[in-house]
Amino acid sequence: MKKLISVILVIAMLFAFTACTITGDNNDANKSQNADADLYAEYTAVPYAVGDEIYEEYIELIEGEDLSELKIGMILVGDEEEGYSLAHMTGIEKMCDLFGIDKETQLVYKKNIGESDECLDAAKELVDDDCTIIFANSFGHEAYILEAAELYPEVQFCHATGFQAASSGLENVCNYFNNVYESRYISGIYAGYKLVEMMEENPETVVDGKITIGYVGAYPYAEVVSGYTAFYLGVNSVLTAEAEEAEDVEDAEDVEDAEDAEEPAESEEVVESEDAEPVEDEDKKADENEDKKADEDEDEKADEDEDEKADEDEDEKADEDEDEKADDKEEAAEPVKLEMKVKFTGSWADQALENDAANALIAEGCVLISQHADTTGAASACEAEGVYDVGYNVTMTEAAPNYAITSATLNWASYYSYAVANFVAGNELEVDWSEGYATGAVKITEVNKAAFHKAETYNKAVEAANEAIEGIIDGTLHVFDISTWTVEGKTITSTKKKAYKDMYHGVQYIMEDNNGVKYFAESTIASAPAFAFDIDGIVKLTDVD
Amino acid sequence: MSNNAETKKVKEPLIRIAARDPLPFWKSWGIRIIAFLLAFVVYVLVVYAFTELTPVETFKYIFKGAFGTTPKRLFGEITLWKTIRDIMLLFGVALALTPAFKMRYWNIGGEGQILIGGLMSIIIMRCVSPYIQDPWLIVVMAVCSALAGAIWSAIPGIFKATHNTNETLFTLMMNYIAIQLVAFINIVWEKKKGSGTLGMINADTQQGWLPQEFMSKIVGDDGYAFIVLFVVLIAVFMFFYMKRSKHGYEISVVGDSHNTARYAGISVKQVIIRTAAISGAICGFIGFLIVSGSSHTVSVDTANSRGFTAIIVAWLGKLNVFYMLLVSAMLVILNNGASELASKAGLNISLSDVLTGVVLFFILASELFVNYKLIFRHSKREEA
Repeated sequence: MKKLISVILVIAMLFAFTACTITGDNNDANKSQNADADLYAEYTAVPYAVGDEIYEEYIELIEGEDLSELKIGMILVGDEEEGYSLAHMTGIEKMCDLFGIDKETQLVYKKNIGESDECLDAAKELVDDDCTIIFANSFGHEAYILEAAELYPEVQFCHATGFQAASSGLENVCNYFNNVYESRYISGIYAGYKLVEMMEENPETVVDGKITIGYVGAYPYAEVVSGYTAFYLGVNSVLTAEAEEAEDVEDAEDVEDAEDAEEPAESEEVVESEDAEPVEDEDKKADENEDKKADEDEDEKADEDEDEKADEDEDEKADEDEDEKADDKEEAAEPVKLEMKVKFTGSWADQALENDAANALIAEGCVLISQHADTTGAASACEAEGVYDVGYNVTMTEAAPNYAITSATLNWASYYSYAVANFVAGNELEVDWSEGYATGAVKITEVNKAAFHKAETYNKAVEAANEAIEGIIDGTLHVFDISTWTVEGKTITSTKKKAYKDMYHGVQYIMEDNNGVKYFAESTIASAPAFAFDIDGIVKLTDVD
Repeated sequence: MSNNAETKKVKEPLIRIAARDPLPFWKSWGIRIIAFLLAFVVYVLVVYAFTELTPVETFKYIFKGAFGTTPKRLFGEITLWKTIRDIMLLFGVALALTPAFKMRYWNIGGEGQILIGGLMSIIIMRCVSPYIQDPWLIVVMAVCSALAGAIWSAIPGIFKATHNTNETLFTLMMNYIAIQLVAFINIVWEKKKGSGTLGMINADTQQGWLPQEFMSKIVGDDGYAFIVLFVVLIAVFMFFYMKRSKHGYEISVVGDSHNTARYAGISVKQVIIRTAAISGAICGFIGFLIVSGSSHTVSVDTANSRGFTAIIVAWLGKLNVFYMLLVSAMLVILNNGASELASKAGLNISLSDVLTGVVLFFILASELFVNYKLIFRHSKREEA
């Protein structure tokens, strides 16, 4: 089995490499941009970032405490080769550095611990090793951590991504997570501006009034649903804002011709779609879409490809198409609709599966891909196919130097500092801890300037993202603002309804802020993500087998 | 003649390999021990090359990974007990494969038979526990798991006996069916929607759990005394079954030649099916031991590749009960030790596979020198 996988991986890598060189030739400009910093002279905007000041309160808290006897245990589902675990390791080691804890002797890792009784064994071994505070980082570890917490009441256990600590009745166990949906939303804003740029450069990006992006998810769990919905809403916020702007511009038409060029992709799109070819293309896609609804089969992929190839020399359909042309023009005046296709791999970290999933999404017409899975599989597929990519956990610029935009990521050091400082100081730990931008617990990786062809797009994206972050921090912007999403055309105003009893057990997640804005309060009632609605605009392609 | 000798000389390779008469006990073991020591020299070099850990540190971490460092009481160390548990379970599966291999019936379906046994235990724990209480529940679980394993293994056995199908492929395929069944149950009965795991079954009542208090005065709270006890019983049974019973004799005759067996009046079909079922029953029982004695849950990782690793154990141990125990211990200690080593050195877990591979390579190579001799060209000339 392992052999088979490694063979597949090698082949995938070979493909990726050859493809890299091919696209590299096409994008000579990009490559040289990488080398030449001067080209980015106009990329002046600075993305939001926080420094070490967020840790100051914790360092103050432990002042005067003796940390030399402290021993910390950490149970990891993977090792440094797996992005998610690596992020935890980076976080906890940063905390050790800040607090002056010896990483060699006072921090004990248990790596590659599966979601089975291995986890309980690992916890026992850590306790035997005199660890007094033990962290575990995978969802499936929870049952075993609870068991261990019951066995060892004198040891503090902290479990990431879990949800049962509060209901377990145990005092020595707590759950923690980060509001990663906030950083996904922000990464979505960058992706949104990239889409706007793409639509300006190539109106064919918009098919049938719709622009399609893809998302490689691990499992259809709330954690993943919450993540991709936030990403979708981030992207959509940009498209909506741009559409509104475009309308304003249209109203004030002829006044500022100069600005027209840089602003609205949508209005441009209207003009462009009057050219014969793109429209034809759109129509064909429309036909296809109908076919698709008729029978959702794998054949459609092949059909699509064939159709695309046959684009140029197809005149037969022209007659049919002419009738619809008029409709299309009117439709195109509407703001571009965003559709996101989600494909699940059934694994948190599987390079080959993620690569396959991304390729399948690209074949389905996705022009930008994001992910909630732990490897660079999707990014390398994107680089090979020339599709833009938003990653997770770690920067994808190594796998996709020209096409990786940024990655939503977590700053676990924020929690580890909080937890260890309060543990040492003898304070009780919050049983459900979840923080976001406000405490520096989430962030995005460095934005890849090479992915933006125009400085102004980059600058605009950075400004919009920074503004959104400020909004999130001061509470004026809510990622899951209920006015921005609908389920089957309806706005959800309460989760207490009977229909959602299985999902939310009668708990009200829809809250109202001081300004009367209603929103889904993610990660407030429990630290683990809870948003599990299938909102309009997101299409789930497969469920996990 | 001289011409002839010359051509012979040209053609003669530098080294020739020829079978040799069985070596005396001390000589053959001398070769194996030398190979083992050489393996460790390479082992240490590989580790040094990747991590720059000195040999002393290397052995320190291996020791720590396998046996732990802070024994608080006799055998009280969890790490040590984990190692003992893994050794016994691997040894148990190797024992299960012994009769089948002796019959030259290549049962590589141990993995699936363990899983199906474990799954049966879980099903009974979950569904029957309100009606039957310990200790009878445990007895029912043990019996049903063994039965499930036996059936799982008898199916390819029956086909082998009646249609002479290839048992290697058939048992392998049965593995995948078992894995998918376990995955299916994990989805159907998942503890919390979306988790895809069963969690520990009967965590509150501990019904169907082999009591850990058993002999805990001696082995500590984390001991797995029951697992050790049962596997030792299986080993004793298997020793006498193979060496002293009529069945054991029949198995070895069938293994050597079906025709001879038939001539001797042995029903080959019956022996094949019976032996496959026994092999599967023990695997199923090991599945019960894993579930009831240790994990209290079942997942696709429950068997943890023991069904496959045990094949190596059975071969290296030459189907001898004592050698197999030795080989199981070596593999588990190396593996657990190397995990700790890899973790400490910040290397991928695959390092432990690489290192185990190094040791296995040397041990397998040593068999070449035990069974064959090398004849060098010049030594031949001297003889001439």
